[in-house]
Amino acid sequence: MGVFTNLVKDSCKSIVQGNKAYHVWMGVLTFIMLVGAFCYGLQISEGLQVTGMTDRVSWGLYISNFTFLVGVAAAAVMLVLPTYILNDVDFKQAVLIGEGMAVAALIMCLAFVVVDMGGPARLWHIIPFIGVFNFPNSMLAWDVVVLNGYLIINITIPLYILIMRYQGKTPNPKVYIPGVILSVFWAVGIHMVTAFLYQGLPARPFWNTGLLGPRFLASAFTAGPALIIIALAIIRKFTAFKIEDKTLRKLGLVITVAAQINLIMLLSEFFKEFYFPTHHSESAHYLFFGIDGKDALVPWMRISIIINVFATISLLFHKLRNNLNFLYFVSGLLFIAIWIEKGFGLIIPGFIPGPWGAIVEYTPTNVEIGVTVGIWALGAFIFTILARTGVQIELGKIKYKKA
Amino acid sequence: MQRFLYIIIILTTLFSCKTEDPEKEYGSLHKRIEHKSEHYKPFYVQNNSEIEYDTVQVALDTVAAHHFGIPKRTSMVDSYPCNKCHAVSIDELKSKGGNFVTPKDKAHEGVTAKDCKSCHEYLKKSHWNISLNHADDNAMNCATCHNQDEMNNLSSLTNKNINFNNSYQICSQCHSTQFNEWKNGAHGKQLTGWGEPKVRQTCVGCHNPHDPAIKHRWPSRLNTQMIEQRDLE
Amino acid sequence: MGNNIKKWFSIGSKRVVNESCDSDKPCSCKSEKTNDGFDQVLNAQTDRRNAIQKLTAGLLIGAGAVSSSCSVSKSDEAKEQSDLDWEEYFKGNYKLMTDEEKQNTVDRLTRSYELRTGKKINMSAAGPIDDVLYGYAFNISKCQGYMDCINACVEENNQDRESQMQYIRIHEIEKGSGIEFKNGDDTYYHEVPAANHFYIGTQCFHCDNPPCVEVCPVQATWKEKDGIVVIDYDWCIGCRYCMAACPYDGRRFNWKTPEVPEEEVNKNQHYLGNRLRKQGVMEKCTFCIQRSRNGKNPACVEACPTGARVFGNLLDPNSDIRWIIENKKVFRLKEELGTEPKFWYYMD
Repeated sequence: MGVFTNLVKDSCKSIVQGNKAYHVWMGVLTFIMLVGAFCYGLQISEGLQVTGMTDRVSWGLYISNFTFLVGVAAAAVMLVLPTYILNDVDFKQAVLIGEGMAVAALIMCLAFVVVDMGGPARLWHIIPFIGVFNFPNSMLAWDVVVLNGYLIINITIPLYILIMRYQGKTPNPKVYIPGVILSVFWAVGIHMVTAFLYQGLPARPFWNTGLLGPRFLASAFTAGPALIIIALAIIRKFTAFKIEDKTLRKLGLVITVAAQINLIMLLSEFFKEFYFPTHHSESAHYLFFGIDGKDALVPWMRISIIINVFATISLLFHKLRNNLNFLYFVSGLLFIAIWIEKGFGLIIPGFIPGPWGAIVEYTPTNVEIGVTVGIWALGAFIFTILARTGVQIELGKIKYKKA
Repeated sequence: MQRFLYIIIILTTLFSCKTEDPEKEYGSLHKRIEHKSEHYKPFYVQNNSEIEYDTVQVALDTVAAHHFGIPKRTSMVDSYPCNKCHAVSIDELKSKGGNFVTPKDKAHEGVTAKDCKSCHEYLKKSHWNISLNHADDNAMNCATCHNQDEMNNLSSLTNKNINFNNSYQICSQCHSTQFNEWKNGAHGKQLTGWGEPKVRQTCVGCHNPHDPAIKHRWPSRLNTQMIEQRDLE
Repeated sequence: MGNNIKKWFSIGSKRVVNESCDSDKPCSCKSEKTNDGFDQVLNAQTDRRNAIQKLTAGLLIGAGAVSSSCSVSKSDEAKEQSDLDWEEYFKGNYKLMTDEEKQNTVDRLTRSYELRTGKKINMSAAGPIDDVLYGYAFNISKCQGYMDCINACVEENNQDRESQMQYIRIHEIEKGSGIEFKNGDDTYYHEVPAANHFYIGTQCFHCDNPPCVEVCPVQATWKEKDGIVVIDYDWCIGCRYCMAACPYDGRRFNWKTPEVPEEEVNKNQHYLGNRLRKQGVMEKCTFCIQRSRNGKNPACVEACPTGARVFGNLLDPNSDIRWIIENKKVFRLKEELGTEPKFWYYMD
């Protein structure tokens, strides 16, 4: 374990060193995290009444972000799959970054779930054997299993590779390939299970469709790689880590296909809701057109759809897609569009109208936004740390010295 | 490593089968109710100290369901017994002429009707405020229900005497559907719990026989929080 | 490790750099000049004695802070309260407790309340009565919209007054639009019954196939043998999945600590029923489990002046509720979802 301790020490040293921009970035993130922590403290003492959630809309910003981020975490597999299974060397450099993003996104997911709990001190109740774990029946129990499993896989496999590289040795494929294969299927699993959380509720017809799981996968494989493209672009610009244009272009191809599939699925849902509207279409009607003058989400969805369509169509053109700056811009657009559509554009309308038809809108409060932004900052912070360590090791700047 | 993976997958599949609720073997709630009620024994409430109704048992058909008590009406009506004032039958009153009555208690011994005003000047006629607002002239007047010979009791449509406590027997003459429902528990109020012994409220306990319609009133509360939450203001 | 590279963590070295060692103030900058903040804190040289002293001090403070029941400066009552809170925190799921454990937790809660307020409550852990399956019927023709049931429910079940939590909703729907809740209004306040409207009440229907029980990740909610769907308030983690799963708006969440004025607290309580809840847990109608397990009717049934609500044992072939579902034209809401609610509606 001496190697591991040394790795931790070395990475800690490399984290606290950097140029001004780096320090400003980390400083700002720390400040935002502290603000988030303060808001969470308020939430713990006053209760969840400080959020905008009510008995009608009982899941809000926290679960919306959780849903979206599970998709981002699952998307790391989009890099892992080609690299190790298709032996596409072009992706190799990006894999560690992708895994780092998966870990950061997963930690954000877990953080969002914890802050959404009414009784976080009682979370030990969910641990099997110590508490009661409603395993096969409750989809939330399944979700706990798959998310934690994915976190473990995504920590151990890259850690193994990193430790090997840190010592200057080559990682043994026989050790990590099975883990990689498992993580590919597991990634699909985490997102389907998260989709099943909503899909399996007959009480909420907006979610109770067969298409929700596949929709989740399509939007995950759009938003995840889009974020990875942006992260790679930043790393390219600010460090000596060499990322080839080929890698970015291939990722661009991935999001092009995924964005088209996502749009087709959205179209299918749209058709089902509006061709012959029934009671069950009320939620979609609220989302896209508003009901009785209550249309808080309508402008968001309009923007999301416009951006989504624009991005998807423009990515079809080789010239545009291969222009890296345009690719970064479009990735950002897609990320935001899917954040809206799969985040609160999915969760909030599920609750509107209520079981007896009440239309109660949801507006997040400042405390809620504070905690959310704090957790995003936490994710960015963790990702920066992991990416920095990974990049430094890859560049050979951190080496294990048998002192 | 691969074998390990296969084992994990097989185990996960086995464990993922949903645990069946043992009570679902009946298929539906209705079947379950039917099967389970075969050995039913009635539940008797242990200490009924809260039930303080002066009750009389309803004497209906012998179906077990219809053994319940009803509160005695006589203990609830202040001016009962009626023959305190209505000492003579209606016929006699009519033959004597006029609407006056002869009180029969000791305080009023030897007093004739003409002297009422001298003592009870302020006293208006009893029942001065009863107006009959029940069906119409063709179907109802005071004599439809009140026994004209024995004013303590009531009488049926065929002039049979009915005890003042069993007024439901009169209501059931016209309102047979409601009576059937009341007998079986679908109409009216249960005064005790769901366990034995059961006491039901009588018809006149809720419906004033002279003006039986349910009155309008305001609701008991308004949920202002709900209104605020739904942005309805 | 020169001073050229700024470290965001290096608080200490900045201070050392600013202080001039030429001043008259004593400074120990000589040995610390070359250490950056990271090393200063985590790699500082210290001898064994100091280390042990500091560790022990930290341990004592920590332990004392954790459990004030060992503290010497707290009163006996506060210590007992902490003991009770400690044991309550670590107890298991009520469904899995033995009878003795159930009685113990009831005793702890009763004692805890007594310590906090000086008043005594009467909490029961009564189990289900044999051969009983509770059912409920609601007569739409009889409901006049008085909301007496809601008042009684709130008082009986110690619900939070400030947020006006109500398990029951009475919907006023216009005649002619069918049993169409979206056209209904449950926030009316005018003379009732309003002309041309009818009233229909909803609450937890205690389904026989409850979706809420299915989705709870910690099995904090379950269906008892007598058909009542209950919640163990101390086991619930507050994830609100059950609330998303309920098609009938049956469940309520405590978004803040519920407060009931002391003189209005109903002291006849049941562990699974109307005992005082806390912030961050789910609650709902329990068919007044503290009453119905004693042969009494729930508070709403008792309070309704028109007899629109009927409660009884579905397994009793002679009960009112059995007659109603076998002889009246009954229906249940959202029947197509397959939840088998034990709450039927009928009309005259």
